[in-house]
Amino acid sequence: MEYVLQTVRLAKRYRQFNALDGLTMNVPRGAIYGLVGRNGAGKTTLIRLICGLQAPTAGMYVLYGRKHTDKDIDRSRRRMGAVVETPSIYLDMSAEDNLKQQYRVLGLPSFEGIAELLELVGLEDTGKKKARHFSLGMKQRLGIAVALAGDPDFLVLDEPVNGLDPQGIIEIRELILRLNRERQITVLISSHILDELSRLATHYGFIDGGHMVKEISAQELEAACRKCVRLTVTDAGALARVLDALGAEYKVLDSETADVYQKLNVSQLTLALAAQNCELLDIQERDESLESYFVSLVGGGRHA
Amino acid sequence: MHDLLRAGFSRLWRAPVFWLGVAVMACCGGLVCLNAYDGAQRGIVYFMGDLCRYHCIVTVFLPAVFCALFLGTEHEHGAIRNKLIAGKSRPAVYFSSLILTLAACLLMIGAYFVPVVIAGPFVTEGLGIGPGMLALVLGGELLMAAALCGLCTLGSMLISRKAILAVVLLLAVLAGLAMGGYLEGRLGEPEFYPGIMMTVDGELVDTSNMENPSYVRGRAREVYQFAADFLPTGQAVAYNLDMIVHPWRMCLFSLLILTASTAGGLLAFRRKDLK
Repeated sequence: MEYVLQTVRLAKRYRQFNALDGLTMNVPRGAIYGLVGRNGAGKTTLIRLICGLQAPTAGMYVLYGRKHTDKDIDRSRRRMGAVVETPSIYLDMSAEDNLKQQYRVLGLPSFEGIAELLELVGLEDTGKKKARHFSLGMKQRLGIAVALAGDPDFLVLDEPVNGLDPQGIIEIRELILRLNRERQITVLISSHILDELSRLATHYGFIDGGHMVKEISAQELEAACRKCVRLTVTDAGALARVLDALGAEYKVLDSETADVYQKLNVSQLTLALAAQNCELLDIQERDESLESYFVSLVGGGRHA
Repeated sequence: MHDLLRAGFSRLWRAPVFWLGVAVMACCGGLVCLNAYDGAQRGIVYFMGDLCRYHCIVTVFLPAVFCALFLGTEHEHGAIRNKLIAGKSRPAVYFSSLILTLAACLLMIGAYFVPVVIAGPFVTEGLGIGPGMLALVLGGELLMAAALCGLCTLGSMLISRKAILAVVLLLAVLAGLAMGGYLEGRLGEPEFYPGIMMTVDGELVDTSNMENPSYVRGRAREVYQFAADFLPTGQAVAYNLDMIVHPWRMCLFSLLILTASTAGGLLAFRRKDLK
């Protein structure tokens, strides 16, 4: 698999506080990588490091095949765009002027493509209106448009839907999905709004306490979070024989429990188990969400 | 860096703080000419050399105000992040900011000289000093402004919060001016009391040979003079009051401050954690 970004035991220390503590992660090309973690888990610190705003204390990261210590890392960075925390825009300029300014910074020879960018983010009708008069969602979209100037193929978004109203959240989600599908842009999104992230991400990285707890693809996560019926019986071996006979998909967890991934006729199952001298002790329907998966990974007690 | 300068100048032309500075300095130039005209009506003689010095006290505020409002916005709006994420190096970002500040201040000072050059010859009686010395003073004034630009750019690249930056820069300039004023005041004390003085009893006493206790002597005078020559604000007071003792040394100190502040600022900015 080809990776846009890889970090290896990346660490960042602020005086006595380890914001990142040996974080290793891999962002595959073409993915929408959801970075999940509590407030203070290290998501924004990681993004600041890979954007070159701060230097790591230890470890390394590789961006488009170049180590962060390479002299020409700036060339890799030119392939990325980012919105870190708040959108980086001049509030005293219009949306178009903000994009023109970023085009100048990038050294682009003409302003061709600005109209298309404004249309892409839905700001084509803002005219001369200054960015300070924009709504939060509009500012966020302008920030993304500025990040998209220069046609990057890796977009980093730090909490892009924070503080947005439901309509704004939907607009940003659709925009990210379009960028990923239509322009094949790899996206790294940090968020603690898990429900929103679950509608977007193709890959997840769960971080806690500055290190990666688990990296998992959306497919793997879906399998892990599948709806199932958890059966507790006196003999899991007998249960397995009965389920095999019924042609059910299942997974034995221990000598007494198993998860079954389809609907069952309880009477039929109970009779079949009785024939095997096995008692059905408990039935629970399980439906694990991203949120409960996250809590089971990093433990509850604090807010995600 | 060319791209950063292009972007920076494009922003500069539409920055209200820049045009406000230009307007204020042009008004200062106009007022100085008006004052010279008024003086001429009352028999007071002004020279072009005088008119070329009077802007210095206002000039020391230009880099501070410009950096606080123009460069401070780069941090506050997060635009500086866009430059780094876009692959621009930190030295390039630093140098482009410095060049922009230098250019803006130069243009604002230039605005002062527009009315002075146009109206000055009509309200003054010649240069008042030799052309060589005038060129040296003008060069020194520009270098003094450049040193302040270097210091203010350093501050604005290291202080991320615009409000704090504005307070720090303006307080530093005010404190520097107070210090410069004090130093030049002490250095300007006469060594002996002039002529005749009246005592509290109404007696007239010949004091022409009496030493002034406020006069700074010996090693202390050297230190005071060094500080006054070294501090850009001390230089500003000296230029303004025509108390220039070591013009070449002042130019050298300004160059030294500009170089040291740029080198130090660059080093610190390379290590700075940006948010």
